[in-house]
This record gives sequence, structure tokens and C-alpha cells, in this order.
Amino acid sequence: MLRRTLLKGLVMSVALVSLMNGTSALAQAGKTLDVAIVSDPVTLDPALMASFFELSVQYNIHEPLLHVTPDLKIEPGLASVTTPDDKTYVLTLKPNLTFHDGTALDAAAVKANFDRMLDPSLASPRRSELGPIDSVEATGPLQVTVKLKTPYAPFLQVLANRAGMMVSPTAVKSLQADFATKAVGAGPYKVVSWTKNSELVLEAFDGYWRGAPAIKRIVFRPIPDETVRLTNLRSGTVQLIDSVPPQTVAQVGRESGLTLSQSPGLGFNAFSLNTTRPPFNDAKVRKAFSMAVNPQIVQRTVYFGTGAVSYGPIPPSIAWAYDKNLQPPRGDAAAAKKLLTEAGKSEPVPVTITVTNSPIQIRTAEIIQAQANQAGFKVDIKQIDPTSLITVLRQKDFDLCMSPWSGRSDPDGNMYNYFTKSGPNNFAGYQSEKVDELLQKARTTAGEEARAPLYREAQAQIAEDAPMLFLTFPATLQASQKALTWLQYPDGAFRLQFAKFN
Amino acid sequence: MGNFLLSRIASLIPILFGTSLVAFFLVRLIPGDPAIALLGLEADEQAIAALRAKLALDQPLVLQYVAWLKQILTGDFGRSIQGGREVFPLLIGALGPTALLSVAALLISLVIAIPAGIVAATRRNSLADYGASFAALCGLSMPSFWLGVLLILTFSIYVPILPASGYVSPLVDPLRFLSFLVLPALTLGAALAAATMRMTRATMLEVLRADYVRTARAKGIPARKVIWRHAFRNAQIPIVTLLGIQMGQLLGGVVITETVFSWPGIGKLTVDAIFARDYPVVQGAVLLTATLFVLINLLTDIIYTLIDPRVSLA
Repeated sequence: MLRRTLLKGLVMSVALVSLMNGTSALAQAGKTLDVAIVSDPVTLDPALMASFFELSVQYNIHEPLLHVTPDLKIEPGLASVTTPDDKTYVLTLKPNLTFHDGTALDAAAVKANFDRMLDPSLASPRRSELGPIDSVEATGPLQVTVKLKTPYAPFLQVLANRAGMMVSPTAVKSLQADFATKAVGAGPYKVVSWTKNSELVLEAFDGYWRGAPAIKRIVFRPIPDETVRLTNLRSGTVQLIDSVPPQTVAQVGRESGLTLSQSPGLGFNAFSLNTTRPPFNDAKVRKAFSMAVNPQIVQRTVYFGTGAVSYGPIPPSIAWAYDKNLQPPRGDAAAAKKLLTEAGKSEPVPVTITVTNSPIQIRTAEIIQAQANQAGFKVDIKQIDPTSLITVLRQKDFDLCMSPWSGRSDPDGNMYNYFTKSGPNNFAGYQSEKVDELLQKARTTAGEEARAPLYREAQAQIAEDAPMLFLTFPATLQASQKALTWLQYPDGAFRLQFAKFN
Repeated sequence: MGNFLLSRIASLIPILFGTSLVAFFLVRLIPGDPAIALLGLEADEQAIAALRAKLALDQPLVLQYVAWLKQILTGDFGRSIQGGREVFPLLIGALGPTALLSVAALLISLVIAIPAGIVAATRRNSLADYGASFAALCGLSMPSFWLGVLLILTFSIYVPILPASGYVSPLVDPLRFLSFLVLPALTLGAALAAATMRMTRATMLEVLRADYVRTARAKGIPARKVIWRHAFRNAQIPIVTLLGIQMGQLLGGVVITETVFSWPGIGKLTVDAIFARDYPVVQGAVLLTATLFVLINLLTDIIYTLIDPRVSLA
């Protein structure tokens, strides 16, 4: 009896559910955009955000002072900017701006934001991005003057990115620790609710400076499994997804109901070679290892031809600084072997590759292993979890370790921290006076024409010294249902104020 | 009965104390700490040191433990380091979906496993027995990430009647909740059913050989009645034990199923917290699941007395 009742109940609920499912999907169409992202954001506070995947939601809630176009040009955003000299930036805010909570977005609010990010006790990653700031003063009701200690060329790009995102100072004060989950900004959407690991619901902000966005409601759903993310797009449960796995790109591109969007990314997939201990303290051994590896094989077999092969840190998407002539020798086992003999190494040289346990990284490591083994190395692969990776890199407890970078729209963001002598991301322990000077100079020189040759020279020297093995510039791969029009940015972050249903 | 309950609940105190010690120190043995995990590759040493000081991670471990214990005893689980949510509401918020999924999966497993196990036992070595045993083997050996994706493909792409993944609270929209529940519950239920079916078959075989069953048959009681009234009742104790263990394990979280179906449960929350070295969340989650495990075992013992009056808890 019990059994029969249970069965009956089950059958009925399945039937009812499928009925309801159809109607609720209809009711929602046109109003709500469901977006599948890779992982739940950690915090909605732009001053504290640190992970790459969080970026995909941030630009919808928060608006930077300046706007960067998909081809990386700076435009006015909340503010326009003038630079009377190379150490002074005058920001002029648009009149009558407010945050989601109605607080005025004026010079005082902007100053409060800078003060907050620069406060050492907040431990904000934005502090180092903002560079050599000397003072921030409100010089008018809508005018803020930022003075730098030394010229800092990437500053405008920095203000158009994470560090330029303004939050409501009133809300920071009143919400305290809850600000991280209830963020109040000045972006196109305001936060309605956020259920951990389930959904982040946003609603159009009518006071947005470009005018209220076309889509009224957005729901971000974290779906970590790449297959399930794609299935949700195919079934229409979501209409836009982040991070399409490279192996499915060709297939998704052929599906009639879907649009695959890809553009060159800003970051790189590379490995740091530990220059502070054997065997890679010898530049010849580093060079031999780099020579042995063929990045084209990695790009073809791991990334299925998406993105681009990389020989240095600056990607083709930063067109003015990209050096297409940079092509150090790669994929030459015989030459690598010869170099090893020159370095006085006759035995197979033992090397350990440290990677996280993600399929892409493991496959990459296996290809490097096979190629380097042919050139006289004996390579082991060690897998660790992503949080241990940071510790391993910082403590230089590795021979060869993955050091991927999400990338920045200014080349300084892809090089300064990695290759200056005391750079926080100089995991290789690379010490080059020449590169240090070049990068300092490139950072303090104004004008793309003047900076480009400096970056070219620095990249050439780095290729010669081989402290890092560059493999690919992964593409930004995202997909949507045909019914949705939206604008893709190279950094992969969604800016859904520009999206609409057809 | 009253004394028994009291003593069992009192036994929670040393168990929880031990668990708190293990949870606290074990999670700190993993390399890396919350400051590094939170600030990521982009932070400089200064920022990490500042955050460590703010989180009191620069204090001696014993002091940190005592401070946390004091907090817990006043009912304050602290705040998550990642994102600053309060830990207790966060845990309860994730326990709800996991509990609902677990109960649904157990129900599904029972509906499949009990009849299958009984049929397999009563018609031993028949085609039905082999069939049920084979199905159970499949259920046990199919990994849930594979079965889950297969179900998603079948029911939301080829026969699109159910959403692929997601969750909505049953309080908000009960029918949509059910539509989200079906696939993960089936995925999880399949594996559970396999174990329960094997257990049902084995205990039924044993009971069916017992003298009183032969006597009942000899008295001319209809076969159906013999099986359900005489045999199955006595076969229930090991099954209930198994269910208790299963339920305890389920409430600790079913990470893979939760991940595949984007089900915001406690398993995924805990694993994410471990990866992020979010100490307060990991410690809270371990304490909570340990408590539940003990309580479910207690409940199992009480159920014994209801099934079999010979069992006494005094």
C-alpha cells in the first residue's frame, strides 16, 4: 500500500513538474537573463575581489570611473579625465550621479573610495595596482585631483578596471561586514539577493548614467561543471555562459540555436622556472628546456587551436605593444640536448613540474614532459590544489610551476610584477638589471609609441634569459543563445548593460 | 528510555570536543592559509601580512583555538573569511537543500530496493534475482558524475521535461523545487538503492530459512503474508542500520552530485571552504555534521525499538 502511494505520488509530481516547468520558462522569457558562471563570487566588494572568476559579475554591479572599450581604448565613464602633467590626473564627474542607495556620487565619495582602497588595514589588492599615489584631493564638488609621486603610465587603464570601481561610502559604513554580500555601487544593476552557490539576482538600476539597461533582471548561476554549463545553455535554462571548454568550441560553433563568441584574451598560460636553485639556476639549462618544448603542440592539443601561441607576456590583444617578431627557438630537441652538454650536463636532468589538478594544466604538463624527456630531461609531474599553488610559488618550492595570469589591458600589468627584481609575482626569482630598468622606464614614460620599444626590448631579454616558459594566450570563449545580443570584452568580464534580447 | 536519551546526548559533549580539536588542527595542516587563498596571486606580501593580522592568524595556534572555542560556546560560529557571511546561517542554508535531497534520494532508493531485494531473495537464482543483482551492480559501479550528466542529457535535452540543474527553495516555488529535485535525487538514489537492495536480499535470505517462517508456511498462511508480515519485519533491523549510516553520510554532503546539479548543499560548501582554507566554515561544518551523525544514530536506535519490541534501550 505504502509502496503504491509513493509510486503514485512520484509519477504525479513528475508530471506536474514538467507541466509547470514549461509555463514558468515562458513567463520569464524576455525579462530575465540567466547567466551561468564558473564559480560563485567570493565577495561583491571590488576593493577586496581577488579571483579571476569574480570579475564576470563585478562590472554589472560596479561602474569604473573610466570605461575601456573591447579594443582597449579609454573612454569617459562616471568621470572624464585630463592630465595637466604626467604626475597629475584631474577627474571630473558627471553631474547628478548617485549610487544604488541614493547616496550622491560626488568628489567626496570618490575620495572616500580611494582612501579606503589605500588604507593598509583593509589589505586591498587594489592598493598596489593604484601605483605611486601621492595624494587624492576633492578640488571641487565634482572634481578630484590625483597626484602621483612618479609618472605611472598604466594609471588610466587601472582606473578603468577593478581599482576604478566606486562603491557607496554610506553603505560601506552602515553594512560593515555585510557589504561583501550586499554591495552597493553605481553600476547598471543593483543586488537583489545572493544565495551562496545558488543564485545572485540583480535588478536594473534606473539611475545608471547610460540610462536604465534593456534587460531588467539578471540571475547569475554558478555551474562549475563545464558539461553541465553547456547543457544548461542548450536546454535554454540559461541564455549566456562563461568559459566554454576549448574542446567543444568547434561543435558549439555549428549549433544553430547558439552563438559562440571568442576573442583574444589578455592573459597567458606560462610556467615559472625557479632560477634560485639547480637545475634552473643555470640560464643554459633554462634555455635548453624552453627550446625542447613546442608551444604549438600545446595550443593545438590542449586548446584545440583556440587562442594563440605565446613567446612572451604581451598578448596580440594589446596590439600597440605586441611583438609579432618575437620568436625564440622552440620544439628543437637536438639543439636543446646540445645546449645541455655545453652546460656540462650529461645525465638526464631531473625536473619536477608542479601543476594544479585541472585537466587543461595536467594535459599541458604531460606534453611538456614528453617533449623535455626527448631532450635529455627526466620530468616528473606533481599535482596540487589551487590554494597550495600560491604558497608553492611564493616559497619558490618548485623547479617548474604553472603561473597563469588573467591579464591586464596595459602591458605593465602583464610584466612589471613578474619580471622586476622585487615584483610580487616574480616567482622565478629572476634578477636582471636591464629588464628592471626597462620596465621602470616603460611604466613612467608617456605615449604608446615611446613605450612599445621598451617592452619589445624587455621581452627579447626575457626570452634570452628564459625565466618563464610561455605557451599560449588562451582566448576568451563564451556562448549564448541566438536570441541574445551582447558585447564581449577581452578580459572575459560580462558588461550586460550592453545586452538585449532580440 | 529517558536515561538512555540523556546519556546519549551527554556523550555528545566529549565527541564534539574531540571533533572540534581535530577540525581545528587538521585544516591548519594543509599548506597555505586563508589570507593567501583570499588575496590570490595578485596580492603583495604587505597585503597578506595585514590580512593575517586582521584575522588573528598571526597568533599562536592554541590561543586561536581557545578564542574559537569561547566563541562557539556562546553560540557564535563567526564569519566566513571568504565573503564575510555569518557561518551559522550559511551552514543551515546549505544543510536544508542537502537534507531535502538526501531524504528524496533515500525514498527513491527504498521504493526501488526493498521490492527488488525481496523478489531477489524469494526467487533466489531465478532470472529476476540475476536481473536485480545485475542492476544493483550497475547502480554501485556507475559514478554519479556520469549518471548525472547522462540523466541531464536525457531529460533536459532529448526529452526536455526537466531543468538541467539549479535550485529554488520549496518555500518559494514548491513545484519548481520538485522539478529541480528529480534528477539529482535519482542520481543519488540509484547508488543507495544498490546497497540497500543487496542488504535486503541477504537478510531476507537468512530470515526465510528461519524455523518460524517454515512454521508459518506449514500453517498455510498465504505466501505474501508470510513474506511481508513474518519475514520482512524481522529483516528490517540491518536495513534500518544501513539507512541510518547512509543518511548520516548524505548529510555530510554529496559533493559530486551537488556539483553536477549546482545544488547549493553543504558538501560543496565544505569542499569549497577547504580549498579556500576558510577555517571558520570548515570547522563549523565539521561540528555540525558530527552532531547530526550522532543524532541520526540515536534516531536509528530508537527506531529499532519500534520495529522490534525485543530490543530495549534501558
